[in-house]
Amino acid sequence: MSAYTVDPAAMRVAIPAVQALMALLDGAASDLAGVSAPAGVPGPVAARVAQVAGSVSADLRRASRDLASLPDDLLRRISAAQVANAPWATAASFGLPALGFYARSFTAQSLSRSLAAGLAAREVAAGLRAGQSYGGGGPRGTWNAFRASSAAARAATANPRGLPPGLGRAASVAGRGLTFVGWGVTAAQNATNPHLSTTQKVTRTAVSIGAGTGASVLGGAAAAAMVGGTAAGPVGAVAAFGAAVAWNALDNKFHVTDKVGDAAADAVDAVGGAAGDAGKAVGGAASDAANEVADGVSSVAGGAKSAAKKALGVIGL
Amino acid sequence: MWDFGAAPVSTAGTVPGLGSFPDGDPEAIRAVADQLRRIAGLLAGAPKPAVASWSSPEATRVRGRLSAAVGVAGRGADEIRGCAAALDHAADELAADQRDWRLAKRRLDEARRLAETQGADR
Repeated sequence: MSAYTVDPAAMRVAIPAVQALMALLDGAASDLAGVSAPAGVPGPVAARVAQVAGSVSADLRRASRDLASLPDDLLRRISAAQVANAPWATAASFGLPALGFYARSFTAQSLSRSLAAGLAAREVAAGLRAGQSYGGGGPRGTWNAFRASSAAARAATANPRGLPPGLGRAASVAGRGLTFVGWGVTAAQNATNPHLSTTQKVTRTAVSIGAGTGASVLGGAAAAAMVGGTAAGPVGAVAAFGAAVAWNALDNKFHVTDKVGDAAADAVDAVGGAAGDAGKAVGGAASDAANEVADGVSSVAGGAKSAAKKALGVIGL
Repeated sequence: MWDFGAAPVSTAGTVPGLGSFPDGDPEAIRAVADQLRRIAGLLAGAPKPAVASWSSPEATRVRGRLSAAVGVAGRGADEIRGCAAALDHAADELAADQRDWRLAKRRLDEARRLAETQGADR
């Protein structure tokens, strides 16, 4: 078994050296392309000069092209080596948000807005299946299901049960703290990634935070939809935790957050483009925005979306 | 070399045995040779980027690509230097031909002037 070693710092030094070599080869090729034998040079010598200048120029351009992908390749390896050198950061970026969601799920019994929304959605869906209509101006009774869910949410929020109030509050604070630390790790990773532009560093971090919030809401809604507002308890916690972990796992596998962040970065960078287009790219749905990113992101985003639907189906949302 | 002590010789016309004045500028040819030598010097001095503290099969391939690029530059430098030497030689030959032509033309002009003077005396 051979040993693999990578020194990111030494590799970083090589990048400008490679770029300088490419510039030298390209510059010499351009200079040679403009060389021709002046008048007075014997025909055979003039022909030889033209032939050598042409062939060497072509060889130099080819050699430069062969190196063209090297700086980006080295950047990717530097990034990978940094991750390998700091496994705690990789583990933390995955684990901390999940732990944060888990801690906050202890407060699922006192319905949060997202829990109440999930419960209301479940009630409305049940009403629709029972033949009720929710069109405006209908009979008074058509809103019963919604009112019932709202009342249940208010009651549950006002009267948390089954968990000491102090513990619930502490779990909530701890959850927020873990989530913030997770965001900090993500921001630090993005900030030190040499492969990202400044815009990408900012947008990837922002989108990651937004996606984490979305996953949190998703987790709460999943818990409510599964078990209702009055008896969430451990089952609700597991459901919320499962939804959050499912999102984290999907995002770590498919890098949907990064893709959306890059799409937003592209839009931000396209200052000269139409403002409407940029807004469309930023504000569009995640899969739409991801489609704008090169490197086959559309299929990846599609797969992530499909996988996310399956995962949420499993947990009952 | 230029003969600054003598009167300038017209390059118009022909010289028996030598024909018309050899076309071209030796200094322009030497300038192109110098340009080629400068390019060759840059290529010959192209440093191979060092990718230190990296060992893996891919590292070997990357170092191979860098060596190949520097090798292309080195071989190109050799060929270009050969061309520059050929141009220098051509410039020297052209300068010698032009000097011989001017010398022959001057002798021819002097012989004509002498013949004209002797004809007028008679």
